[in-house]
Amino acid sequence: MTQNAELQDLVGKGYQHGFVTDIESESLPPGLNEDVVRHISRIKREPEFLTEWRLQALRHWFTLKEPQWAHVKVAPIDYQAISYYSAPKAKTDGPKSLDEVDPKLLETYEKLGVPLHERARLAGVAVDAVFDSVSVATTFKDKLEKAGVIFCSFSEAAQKHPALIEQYLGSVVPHTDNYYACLNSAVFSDGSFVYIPKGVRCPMELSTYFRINAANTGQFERTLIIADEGSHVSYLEGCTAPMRDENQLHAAVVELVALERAEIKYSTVQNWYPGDENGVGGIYNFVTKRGECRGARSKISWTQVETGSAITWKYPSCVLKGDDSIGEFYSVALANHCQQADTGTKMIHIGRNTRSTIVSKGISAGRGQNTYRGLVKILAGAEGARNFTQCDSLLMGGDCGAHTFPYVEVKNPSATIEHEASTSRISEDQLFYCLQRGISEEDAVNMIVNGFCKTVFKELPMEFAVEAQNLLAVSLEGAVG
Amino acid sequence: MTQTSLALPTGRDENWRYAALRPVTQLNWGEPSPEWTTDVEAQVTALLPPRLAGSRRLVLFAGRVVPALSDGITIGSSRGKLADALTLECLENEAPSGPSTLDIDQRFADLNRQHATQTLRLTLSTQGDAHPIEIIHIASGVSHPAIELVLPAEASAQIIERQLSRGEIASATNLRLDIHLGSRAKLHLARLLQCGTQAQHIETLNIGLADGAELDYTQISLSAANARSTALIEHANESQVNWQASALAAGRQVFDHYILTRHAQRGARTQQTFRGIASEQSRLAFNGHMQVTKSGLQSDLQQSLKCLLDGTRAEANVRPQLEIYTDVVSASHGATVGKLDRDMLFYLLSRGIDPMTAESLLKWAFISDVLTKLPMGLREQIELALLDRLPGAIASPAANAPTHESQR
Repeated sequence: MTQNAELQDLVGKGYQHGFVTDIESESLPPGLNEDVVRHISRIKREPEFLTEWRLQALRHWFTLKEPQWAHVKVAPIDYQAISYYSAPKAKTDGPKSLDEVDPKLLETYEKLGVPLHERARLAGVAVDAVFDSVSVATTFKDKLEKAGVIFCSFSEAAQKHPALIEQYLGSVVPHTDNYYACLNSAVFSDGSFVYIPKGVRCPMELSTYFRINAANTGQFERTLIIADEGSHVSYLEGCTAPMRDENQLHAAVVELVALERAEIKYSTVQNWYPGDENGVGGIYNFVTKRGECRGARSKISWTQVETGSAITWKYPSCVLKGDDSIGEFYSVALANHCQQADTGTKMIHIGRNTRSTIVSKGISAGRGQNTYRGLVKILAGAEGARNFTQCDSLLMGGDCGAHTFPYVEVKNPSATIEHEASTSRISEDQLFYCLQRGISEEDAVNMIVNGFCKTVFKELPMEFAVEAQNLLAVSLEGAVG
Repeated sequence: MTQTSLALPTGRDENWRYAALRPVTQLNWGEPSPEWTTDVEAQVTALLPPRLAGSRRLVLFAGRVVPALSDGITIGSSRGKLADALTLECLENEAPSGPSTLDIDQRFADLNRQHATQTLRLTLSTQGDAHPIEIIHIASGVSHPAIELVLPAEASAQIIERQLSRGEIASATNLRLDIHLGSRAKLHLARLLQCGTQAQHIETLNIGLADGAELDYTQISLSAANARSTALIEHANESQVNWQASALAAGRQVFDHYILTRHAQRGARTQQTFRGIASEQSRLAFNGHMQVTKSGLQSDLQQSLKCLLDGTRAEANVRPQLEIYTDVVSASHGATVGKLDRDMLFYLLSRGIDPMTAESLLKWAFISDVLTKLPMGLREQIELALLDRLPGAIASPAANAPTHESQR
């Protein structure tokens, strides 16, 4: 009884980032057609090829049906009731520096723990902040430019570096890939663009903070990261949204390209609003993330901590084309209250001696449903490919669910694939051990859950690891099954 | 073209994506089965394997019981007794029996209900029967064998089922096997697939266990052009299933398995083991789907799925799936796909064992987790059948026979 009461109290702590910023914004009326797409493209002053690419995607999207295979229950989405563009009203064409950014916006980011000024000076992390549909501020641009690194909003890149955009956009996730990626291709409004030139090790970690603020809008950002030969970049992504009773759609696409010997480390702490304890409201997070190791000895590493959103549908993947290339996926996914998560990864081994590692930790509590879905595919030419997969699930309470749906497909006899998984609840022995040493129940559960997730947290950059631990603590302390 | 009103599964159906469906969906499943003639009888008699010690035997040709070659049933009779404790009934199906389901995984079972001309029902009495029962299917033409096996409470039985075919003549079999185990009943079921290279084999097993029932299931798939095994297992309180399967595919063979195990009551246990070897251009697939509902408290699930690839174009697909809706459960699974361990091979070679024998020994060891679960008499027969596939792994009977010198 005490455990249950504590659990209720702690779960009742609720979402910390659910406030709304009262800021003037420009939005398109709800609805989706070619005019809307042309309008977005015109606002963004995009080159002609990009407008055509968007239109092509939209025409294809009209022929598609929503995917039904995921282990989630989604209420019908009226795509014509969504506004596909919302942006904070700009006084000029756009802020030239942080001083020109609306103070209310900066205040919002302060509240979210993303103090753009302080972070710029103290933490040495370059931040691109995306508010609703547009990038509002990018810090540390000058220093990055000196190193030859391009880090800017996607709209800016489309104007200033159209050749790079034309070459790489859709080359990893084509608009025909899936329903949500196709929708994103048609209506994406902004996002981040990163190009690391040959041989450059990015002098600081790059970070993007996504915030949905306006009501009745969706967020459709697009991120493109290109790491040229021998380069290295670490990229962090965070996201939050206000508490609203209606579901909001977030359908993003992230494309990573790693050329020869390049390395990309992509970390996410996803904290979209998950809805209340009865499953009312929350973000539908339908995201396509894929990286392509095009060059030999390249490496792409995904690390994600998924604590938010009502429904998560997300499979950060690696296509290992280059010989000796490496793909990694480290994930902690939490489903509490009525949250549903169907997440995992795909590792497609094409090149010789390619290696991949998957470590997935799923935590289910309340009435949450957590699914790991992972594909390891070894194609015929992937001589000497190796994969190791570990996916563990922790159940807290009798009403939640933990599901594991791995797919192992091997077409090369020299490959070595190992997959292991376990499903259990918090061990009563471990809990008793902590309690009889005077540790409170909340702290004990926190310790055990953090221990369960340790292999993933240690892959996160330090400040994100702390944030991730705090997030889990808010949601789960005392949740003893 | 398939002469059936039922839409058969396609590669787009999640649980059928690895099966070789083209050959079976293009068949005319409504084609009449071949007749039993004296020529056929001579051929079939020659095919029959040596009788296992003390066993009772039933022989089915193209899905129908052959009284002349079966124990306990006289020609012209539809009922009989294999032993005092075991009754059998051959039920003639005049019209399609049972309703069609909406479940695509049960579609071939529905097809069987439409076209099966006879259902063999075996009922064991509570006293049980110590003698093993051999059921031998001889595939020929298109056939729909249907078997219902009923073990009442406390009964126990050992059944050995073999799938054979008449030489290299093309055949297509769509088997339906329904098993009902009463409370605390125990069934040891060993199944062997050893058809010709032109045989298409599809089977659907529906297995229901009552409280405390135990099923010990072992399946060895050695040969057929294509084989697909679908099984649905429903657990009850404290019931137990040990499921072992092994498949050795070669040439262009495709062996596909889909096993759905539901744990909806307390304390059910499932242990699932699969060992597959894919050689040459063959394809193996094992999809083990375990479900635990909210009421399936204290369920214990273990899966171990391993495949060995031994051919430049061989393929293995394994899916150990867990779907769990309660927290009072213990579940773990492991899956591996790989080649023969080079270190082990080197160890054997360095001791003077020739490469072919060394490889065979390692493959033998790989599948031994499953082989050792077979009853002794059958295991010896299967070992003999494996001599061609794994030469040198075990001593042939000729090598074991005493020489004249040793006799002196």
